[in-house]
Parts: sequence; structure tokens; C-alpha cells
Amino acid sequence: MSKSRIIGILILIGATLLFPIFWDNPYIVGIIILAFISAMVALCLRLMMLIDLINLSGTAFLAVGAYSSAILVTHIHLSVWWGLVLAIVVSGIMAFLLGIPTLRTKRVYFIVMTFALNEIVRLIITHVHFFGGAAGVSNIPPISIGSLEFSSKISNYYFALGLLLLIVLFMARLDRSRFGLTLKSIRENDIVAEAVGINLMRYKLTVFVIASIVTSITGWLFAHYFRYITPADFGVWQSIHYLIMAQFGGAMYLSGPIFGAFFLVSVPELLRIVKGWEPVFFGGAIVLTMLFFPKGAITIIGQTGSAIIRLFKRVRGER
Amino acid sequence: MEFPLAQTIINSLVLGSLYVLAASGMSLLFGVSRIFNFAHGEFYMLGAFITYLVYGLAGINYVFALIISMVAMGGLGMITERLLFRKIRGQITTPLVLSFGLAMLLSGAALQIFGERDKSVPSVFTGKLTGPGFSIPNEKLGLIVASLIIMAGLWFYIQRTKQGRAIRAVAQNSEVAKAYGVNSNRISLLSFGISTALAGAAGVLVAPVYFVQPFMGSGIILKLLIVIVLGGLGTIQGAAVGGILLGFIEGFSVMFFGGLGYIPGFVVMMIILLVRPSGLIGIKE
Repeated sequence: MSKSRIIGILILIGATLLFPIFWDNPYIVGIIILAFISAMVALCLRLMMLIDLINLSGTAFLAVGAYSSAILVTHIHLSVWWGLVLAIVVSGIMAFLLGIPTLRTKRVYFIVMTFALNEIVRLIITHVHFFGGAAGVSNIPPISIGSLEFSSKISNYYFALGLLLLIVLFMARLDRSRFGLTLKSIRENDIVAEAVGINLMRYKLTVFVIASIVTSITGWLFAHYFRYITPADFGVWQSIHYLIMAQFGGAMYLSGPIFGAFFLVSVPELLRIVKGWEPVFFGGAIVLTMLFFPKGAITIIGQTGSAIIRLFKRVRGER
Repeated sequence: MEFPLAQTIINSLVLGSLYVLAASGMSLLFGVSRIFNFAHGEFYMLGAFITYLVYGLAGINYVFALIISMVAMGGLGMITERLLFRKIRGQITTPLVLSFGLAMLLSGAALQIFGERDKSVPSVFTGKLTGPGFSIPNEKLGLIVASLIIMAGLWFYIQRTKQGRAIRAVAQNSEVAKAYGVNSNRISLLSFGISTALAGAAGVLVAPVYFVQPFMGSGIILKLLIVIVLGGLGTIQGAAVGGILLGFIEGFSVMFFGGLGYIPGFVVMMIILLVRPSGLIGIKE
């Protein structure tokens, strides 16, 4: 990594750390927390896209994490940390068992498989009484460490930011590891990868389980931050939204899904002036970006940046 | 209470023929361009709104509304293909996400223009047909008959005309078709137009039977995805089999299980994908 990039990232982290101190408008802080949560889900979907797996079951595993913790904590009154353990275990087992059949299908068929998975999970939490039905689960306690309770917006902001940074760090390590390089070779040419002895199924399954567990952890945060969950939060269209964030921002870059999440969560709020027309602008932005920057909106920033640098150099050179 | 077998069969048929008509275009397009057009449901929604405007508000002939809607949606579809989808042909994720964006754009615009309230369109055929153990409103009967006629016409076009043969050739193997002098750009444009025109037709037929509203497209698109996968991606016969099958699976299981009755449709689809990835009668990918 170049020096300027490290400095840029540090500035960005510093700015997000200081942000709520200078502007503690709860509405704005709430939007940013939502962007953090969305970024975590989008990062998991991106991990799967690295090996050409387009996953429409994002919110299914978000729901698994949210519901297993919420139900454990509200029914049996255990601590939220046991809820986290349950969320990880349930999602891990589910992803493993469901991954074995679904990952046998390829490309478009995998999209449809995960889409069906998402709908089945949503229908179950909507219609089975145990999960609270359409009304969902309410009165979920906030996350707490000892007597420290994360109930205010600001404290949740820092908790979510911390979790996001952890996930980014983990994903960055994964990208650079031997495992990540193997994933890259699978994407480049899965037939060759298989021929040189890479067990495709094992890698796909591992990626699916990792992505599902991290999504489930995000769901755990989701439940204990909003403290009220309903099946309406976990539909296929929400999954599609998270997928759009990853692809819109740029699925091949780690920064892409984060940028996509921030853009797609915050811009509709900024667009309030156009009252009601947000989806139109929004859809239009997605269409145009896919058309002209199919590698993602993050490449616009990169391209403008290098264009400015080039311009700057030329101006100086001419003098 | 006795199980209303005859009534359930009729209801399944109504649902099934709607699915067949709405899904056939989506399946055809997938065959030719390998695109899942998530905006397909929006063309269906716009078709229904055209009926609301032309037939419901202005009071002009219903058949005229059908023609207008098919022409307008076909045209809009061709414009979309030419301006958007053609530029990113051959990829998977980009067209998919683009079609999501298009769906948001169209349904958002419809929401702003028409409002979120349900609109009702007056019946074309009034009265109903009653028999032993069932009764069916004539307009639902009309939906089944009209859908049969349109599907027969489409089948004839695809199987018996030169253009239809070119479309099938591209769907089977676009490289070989190109080598034999098929203009793949034109076929892609044509199939996109036919696909959206069919969606528009389905919208017209459904408008008097159910309510018309901006979100009807995003509701049905998820069903259509099951339909085209069940029968086999890429063929209209597949869409026909899948549509009727899903109509019956849903018709019966919702009778028995209520809201959970929508699950069997998904489960059957997943099983079919695992044992027969090309669907019941689909083309091989």
C-alpha cells in the first residue's frame, strides 16, 4: 500500500471518529449507523462476488442473527453476548447445511437458489408464531458490557464503527492471504483452478459460511441497535439493495461496498428536496453507473483523482 | 367443511395462466440474452396503468387499450435494449444490477405520477359461470382464454416463422447462429421488445381482475423468477409448464397452509434446480 493511501485511510478513520463530536444530530448519526450496518452486509456479499457467486440471501442471514439473539435474550433473558454466540452458531450451521446443496448450482441458478432461500426464511419468520409473526420482536435490550450500556445513538455509533473496522480489517487480511489468492485464481478460471488441485466446493463453502456468519453478527447488532425487528426488514428486495451497494460501489475493491453503502443510504436522505422522486434519481444513478462505470462508482473517484493529479502535473510542467 | 376441489382447481388455473403469460416474455429474453430482467414486472405494471388510463378513465375500447399497451411497452423495451442493455451484453452482474436500478426508477416514477392508492378498472365481462362446486367470474375466465390465445400466437410465431426460428437459433447457440448470418443485434432488440410487449399484455389482462398499483411489478417478479426456473430457463414452453405448475402448487398449498403455503413453490424449485438444473424442459446452459 502506498504512503498516500495509508494517510488517506487514516484521515478517513479520524474523521469518522470525530464526526459525532462536532455534529451530534441524532438523525444524522442514525443514518450513518445504518450506513455502517449496510456496509457490513455489502462487504459479505462482495466476498462471495469475488468468486462470482451472486448471493440474494443476504437478509436471510441478517434475520438469522437478529432473530436468534433477539428471541434468546427476550425469552430466556440471557446476556446479549450469549445471543451473539447463538447467532454465530446457528448461522454457521445453517450456511454449512444449506451451502452444500445450493453451491452445487452455478451462476444464474445460484442467484435463484439464494433468492428462494431468502424468501423461505422470510415466510417462516412471518408466519410461524414462535418468531412473533408479522409484528416481529420488540423490547430487545441494547448491547451492554458490564454496566456499560450501548443505548444512546452516539455509543451505538462507536460500537458499529468498531465492528465495521474489525470486519474491514478481517476482509483485508483475507484478500491478501493465501486463501484470498486462491479465491482470485478461482475467479480467473475455475476449471484451471480445479485442475491444479483446488477443491472448489470446499472454498465456495468456506466463503459462504464466513459471509453468512459475519452477516449474522451484523444482524445481531441490527437487532440490539434498533431493539425492534419485523420480517419486513428482511425481504428479498432488501437483499437486492445490499447487493446493489456492493456492485454499485465496486465489488472488486474493498472500499467499493463501503462507498456504495454510504452513497445509497445517505443520498436518498440528502435528496429529500426532490420529495418522493428519490427512487427515480436513485434508480437512474444505478443505471448510469452500471452503464458507464461497470466496475463501480468508486472508480469514478479514482479516475477523477488521477485526472486532477495529471492536470496538476501538466500545469506545473508547463511553467 | 368439504374441500372445495373444483374451486381450487379453477383458482389455480387463473393464477397459472397469469403466470404463464407474464413469465413467457421473461423466459424468452433470458434464452436470447441470458439476462434476468428484474424490470420485467415494471413493464407489466405500466401495461396495467395504460389500461387504467385508456379504458378506465378515458373509456375507450378495451381491445384498443391492449394494442396500445403492447405497442408502447414493446417500444419502451426496445429503447431500453438499444440504450442500456446492448452496451453491457455478455456480463452477468452488471445487467442484473442495472435492471434492479431500472425497476426502482420505473416503479418510483409510477408511484409519483399515479399515487400509491389502489386503482380499480371496471370489468370487461360481467357476470359469472357457476357449476357443481365452483363459480368463476367471467372476467377471470376471460383472463384464461386471452392468455391461451396470446400464448398460441406466440408459439406459432416462435415455431413457424423465420424470425421465430432465428430467435430460437440465437437462444440455442448465438455463435453458430451468427455464423449462419443471423443478425444477433436485431434478434436481441426484437426479443426484448416481444418480451416487454407480453409483459404489457399481461398487465392489461390483469387490470380489471385485480387492483392496479405501482408495486404490483415488484410483487409478481419474484413469482416469475420461480416460474421460469421451474419449467426451464429460456423457452416459452418452459414458462407455460412452470406457470401452470406454480399456479397449482400455490393454489393448493395456500388452501392448506395459509401464508406458509408459499414455501412449497420455492422448495420444489430448489429441488428441480438440483436434480435437473435445466428445469423440466429447458435449454442447457
